[in-house]
Amino acid sequence: VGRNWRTAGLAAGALLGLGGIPPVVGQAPELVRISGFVRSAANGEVIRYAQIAIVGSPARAESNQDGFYVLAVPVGRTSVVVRAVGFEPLRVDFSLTQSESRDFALIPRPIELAELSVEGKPDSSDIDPGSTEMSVARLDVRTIKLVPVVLGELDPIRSLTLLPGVSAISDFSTGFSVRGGGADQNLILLDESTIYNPSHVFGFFSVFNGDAVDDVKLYKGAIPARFGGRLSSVLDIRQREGNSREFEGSATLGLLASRLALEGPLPGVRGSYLVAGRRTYADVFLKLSSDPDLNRNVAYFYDLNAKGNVRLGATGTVMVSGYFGRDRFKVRDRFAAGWGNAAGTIRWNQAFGNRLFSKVALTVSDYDYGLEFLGIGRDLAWTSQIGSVDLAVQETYHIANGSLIEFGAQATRHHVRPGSIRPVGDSPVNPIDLEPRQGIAPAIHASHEVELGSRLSLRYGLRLAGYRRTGPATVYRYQDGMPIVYRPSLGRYERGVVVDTTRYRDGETVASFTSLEPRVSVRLGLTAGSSVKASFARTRQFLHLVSNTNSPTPVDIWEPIGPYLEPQLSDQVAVGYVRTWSGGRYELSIEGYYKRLTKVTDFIDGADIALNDRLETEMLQGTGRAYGVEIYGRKSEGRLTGWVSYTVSRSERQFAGVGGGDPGINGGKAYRSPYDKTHNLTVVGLHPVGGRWSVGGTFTLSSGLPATYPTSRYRYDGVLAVEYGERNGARLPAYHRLDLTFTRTGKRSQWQLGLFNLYNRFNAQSIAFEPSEDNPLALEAIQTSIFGIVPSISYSIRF
Amino acid sequence: MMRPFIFGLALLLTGCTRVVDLDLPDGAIRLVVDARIELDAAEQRVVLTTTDAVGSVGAPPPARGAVVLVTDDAGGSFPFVESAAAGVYLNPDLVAAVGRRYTLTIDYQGDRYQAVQALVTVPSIDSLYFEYEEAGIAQGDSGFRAVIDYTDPPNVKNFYLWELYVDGERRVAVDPGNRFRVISDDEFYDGGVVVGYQPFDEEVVDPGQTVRLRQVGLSEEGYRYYFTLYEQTTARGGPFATPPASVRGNVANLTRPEQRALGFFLASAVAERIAVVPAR
Repeated sequence: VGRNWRTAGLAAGALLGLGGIPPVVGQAPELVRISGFVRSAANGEVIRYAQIAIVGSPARAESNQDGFYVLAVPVGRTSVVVRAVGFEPLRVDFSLTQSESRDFALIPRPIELAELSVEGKPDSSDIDPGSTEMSVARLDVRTIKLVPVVLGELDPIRSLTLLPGVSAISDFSTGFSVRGGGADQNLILLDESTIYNPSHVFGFFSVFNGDAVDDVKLYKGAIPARFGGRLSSVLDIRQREGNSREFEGSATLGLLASRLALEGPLPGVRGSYLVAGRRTYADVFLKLSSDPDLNRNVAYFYDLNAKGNVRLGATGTVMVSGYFGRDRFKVRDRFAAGWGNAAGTIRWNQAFGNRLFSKVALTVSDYDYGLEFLGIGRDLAWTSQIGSVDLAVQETYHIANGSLIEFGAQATRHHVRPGSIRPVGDSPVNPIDLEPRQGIAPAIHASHEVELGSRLSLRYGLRLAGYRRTGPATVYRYQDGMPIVYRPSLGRYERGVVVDTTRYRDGETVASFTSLEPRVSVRLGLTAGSSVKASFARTRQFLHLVSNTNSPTPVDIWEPIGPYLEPQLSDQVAVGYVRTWSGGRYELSIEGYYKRLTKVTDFIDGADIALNDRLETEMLQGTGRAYGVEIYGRKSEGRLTGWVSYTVSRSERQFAGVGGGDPGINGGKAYRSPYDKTHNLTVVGLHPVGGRWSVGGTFTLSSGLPATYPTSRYRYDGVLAVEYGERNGARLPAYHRLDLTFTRTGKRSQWQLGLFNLYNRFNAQSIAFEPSEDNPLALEAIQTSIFGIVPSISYSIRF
Repeated sequence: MMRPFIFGLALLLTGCTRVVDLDLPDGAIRLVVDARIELDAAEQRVVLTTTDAVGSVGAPPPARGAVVLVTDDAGGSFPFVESAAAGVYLNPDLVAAVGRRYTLTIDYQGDRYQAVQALVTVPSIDSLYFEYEEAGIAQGDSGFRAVIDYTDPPNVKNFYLWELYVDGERRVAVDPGNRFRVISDDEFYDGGVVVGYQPFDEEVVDPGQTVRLRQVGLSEEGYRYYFTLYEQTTARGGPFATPPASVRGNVANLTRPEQRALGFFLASAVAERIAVVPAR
């Protein structure tokens, strides 16, 4: 009883944002604590989410996202078993008289699938019935390397869409929708630093290089209190630390790009580094062409990932991580585009007194793009940029086995340069700079995860987040306070009439908002291998992506909340059932969710958002809802491994308008969001085929994306146009596709042959209505598909 | 300005397009107004048609028997008479003036429609000439292009629409590549001298052909109408297209507001140049 009381006191202290926690005295005397890192014996890299269990006791702990664990164990002789996905379980016997630091080194299982043994201890599974965590999708990078990919380029974001509740918006785009949310509602973190636009080649590939990525974890719901700022999901991607034992490297030659990764111990200190690079080379071939029309074109992208770790004493680490990537694209001397992300993180981890794990991280992120329009008599260069700096402190305090407190504080500063225009050469273009936007987002959070008896566990937390949009800024006041007015006689929205402008000085508050976000998860164990879970999470988003397309493009900009733009809000309830059999060899998870969204944004018909300083005159805010059921079954041992994922869901938006009898969007009626897929089935299988070969296959079958079809046509000034029916009232034909990858894994080399879209299905990405080539007075429905069958080949060598 | 991305898509779409059959429901039939009061025109025209089914082939059905009247803010009243061509209403007496407000009133099948527009001026085309271009990605075939220089008046918002006639025949070729070339907003180059502009950069003109290039002044409302019309009619769907939407013009139905008319009523000054394409 006494311990519970202290626990509550600590939780309250943490919730109040108190950093100093009094030492807990009078702990049950027979217990001491061990703490430390779980690492790979092969290269010294930390292992995240490893399970550490005391043999013959329900007590256990999990290593955190930095590989650190704390476990209370009885004084005297103890045995613990450490398990992690992809590693042999490790049993350690020891005798303790007092708390101490203790690292565990696990031996990796052989990568070769063919050698996978049916016996042996199974991995700890993704869907842990013993944890309150739910609505989480994790990608095992070793698995996804064997799953088919487009053009041989491993892409964690595309691989995520094979999991339940995550759907691709298009074959073309890395934009993804989580549980019916928009692509801009996903917080994408690379080593804790925000990636604002994860796209290469207009969205064809993501910026994440498979060689550098270690862990990919997607929170679809029950988002922990330490995360905030986006509505639908958090995609937490960690880069590999590099081998701290010996130098090694890998090189991959692919059809599209080549990659090189080098890693090894840092000289003079205890630590490691990893440097990985990737570049496409289509442009090299373009340059070789003697056709002046081709060799003046440019199209390439590159990535550079770097990470270094230095260990401080037994329990501290300083990590420096960076990403830099860039796309360049040029068509003759007419048009050029370039964009890219830069992100950096400096982080200090330190464990104190075998029970407090402390983390301080400073991150910077930057995304910018530039366009050049040339040879048009008024040549211009157009640039835009978003940057942010974020400082976060996060503490995890071990109260007892099964009782952890996590708390912290965070502050982010955003700076958005929405657009600048400059003349190029001898051009009459006048320089224009849209007013920059800036804001500060502070947040504090605390949560407590506690086991109440052997069957019930609970995680409850709170995030208090704010946003302050600051000057210098110009705010327009509109007649009747209406930035958008509706003209019923013409059935259209028009810009409101500006009656006044207000100048805000540097640092002055333009608009501010405070958000209290409760996050609660509860687990009730049914049997040793099964449990039911439930969760509630509220999230708010203070940055809106200004994009009038279904999928983000490289030229989208972010707009912070302001006097006319309120933050988006989501309340999500989820319930689930998870079960594992045969010691984790088979897993099943069923989850249902319901989400209510408010203040989501969309644009009025015919909105002009390019270089628009008064976006409030083009935007509407409305509501949405999404609900569905996700079923996921996985077999992780044996010759055949893989999973089946099925989602049935619905996602809707509703924009009632600005008040005063206006129709909003779609006449004010709810309509399917552009990401709505009723059914989405994915089957993934991996199987050895003899020799050193294995085959990986994926099959996808889903409802077609919503589409808006016309109901009549007309002609104006020589142009054939159409009138549309209900927004997203129809659907494209069903989508299905089979992909195969054959992998030959040698000791130091790997061949991979891929066949994407094996049976050459022309899946509809869109259906548009265009005048026929034969008869300009007749419209045709033109279906566009992106991929036919796409073969790929790549060769990797490790050294 | 999304043109670059259309380029990108064109380059990268390794898949294909094909014509599919769709069974589409028929929507309400609406009046479509294609009307323009033009400075210095010998005869003013209002063309009225109606919508028809999406799968229809041929010219849209004319709207016959309408009563068409244009009045101005100087007390002028000009009835338009349906000509021999069905749905085409003409008036030879209306002499337009810059800045004058015109009101178009149409009575058609029991509904009264109305639109108001002030006549917008336009600067002249400084010169019209021709440049030879090699074929290129999203740039059409090799051949001559019509090129203009023009001077944008300073400190005033100007919106332009260009029209190309080759040997007397209008060429309307709005596609994803040029949709925002045939209209322009002087936002970026107010008061600038524009040299070497190709409003129709994919239209090849051949030596010996007579080219008439017309520069039409648009109101902001008119520019926005054309912008949306071109954006919507050239959106090829897909992830980067703007959502499909009705193009809303400036013609109101006073009798039944929900039964909107489509199209636009323009009042514009037009500057034009004529030149013959030289031998190469």
